[in-house]
Amino acid sequence: MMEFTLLFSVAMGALTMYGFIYWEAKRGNAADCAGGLWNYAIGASVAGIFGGRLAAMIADGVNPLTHPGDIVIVRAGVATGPAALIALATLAFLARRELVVVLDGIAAAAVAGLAGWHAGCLTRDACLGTPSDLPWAQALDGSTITRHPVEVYAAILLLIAGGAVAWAKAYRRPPPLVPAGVALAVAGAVRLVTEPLRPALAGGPEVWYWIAVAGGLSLIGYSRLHARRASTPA
Amino acid sequence: MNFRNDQTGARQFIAEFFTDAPITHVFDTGDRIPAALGGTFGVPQTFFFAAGGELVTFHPAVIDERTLALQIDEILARSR
Repeated sequence: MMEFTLLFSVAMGALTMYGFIYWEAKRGNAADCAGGLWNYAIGASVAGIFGGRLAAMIADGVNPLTHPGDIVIVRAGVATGPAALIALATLAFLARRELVVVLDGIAAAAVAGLAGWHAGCLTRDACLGTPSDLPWAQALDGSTITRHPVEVYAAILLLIAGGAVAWAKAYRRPPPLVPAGVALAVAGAVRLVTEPLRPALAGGPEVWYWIAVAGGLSLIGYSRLHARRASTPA
Repeated sequence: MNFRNDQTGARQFIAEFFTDAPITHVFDTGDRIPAALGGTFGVPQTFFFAAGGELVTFHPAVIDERTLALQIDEILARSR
């Protein structure tokens, strides 16, 4: 039973992502093709998890070719950075004919999907982080030591960010690539902010989160630069 | 602790992944120890003991790094 509880988190992430795509499509903000966006999102997510799992196995010294059965043991580890890169590369390939539109169309839903994934900790009793005396801190079963519900923090921050991106797309009509840039930067920033509250045996993958923030800000900068050049008279 | 397995397979596993690790290989031929500790019959299982030998908790199935770190942190926090 314990082995499959991660599926609840996956299901919550997928449901949240689909809900956002559906909600945005109703308002004409999902690249006018909710089904297409959903296919892109699922394809990229599956490829990312698969690639991230392979990267984690290789990093741990396990050969995927000689131990193919270990690939499905997702709980043993998925390398966050490689998973995100492979997911983005897959998305870029699948949506290569309409990349900017798809990236912006999927931005809010992707952030909300991450929120759902983190909120999935509630279904498998895996929300707690470092000790805390705050009023909302919770203790592990049988313990008196209260802890930050760090995954709930991450879920709330990401859900707010996803909602803000969706709202901005609907009512402010930001320039192309800005929603995608904001989503990428926020996803990295939320992980950076919450990472110190997660117990870890060694240093976390913070460098990947910084890369996400830098990548997101670069997209926003590129978009603004492109818009300025386009508006400059020849 | 090796149970529900043969010694040869366990030794090969240790030799492949934990060549220099300070592992004490205990072989439970009757699968009795996990049950006596409140565990299950599935593998793997992780038992967490505090200093002094008190069994704090156990985790059935494959354990992820976050859970491992959290339970170790719990034991250290209890001992402070």
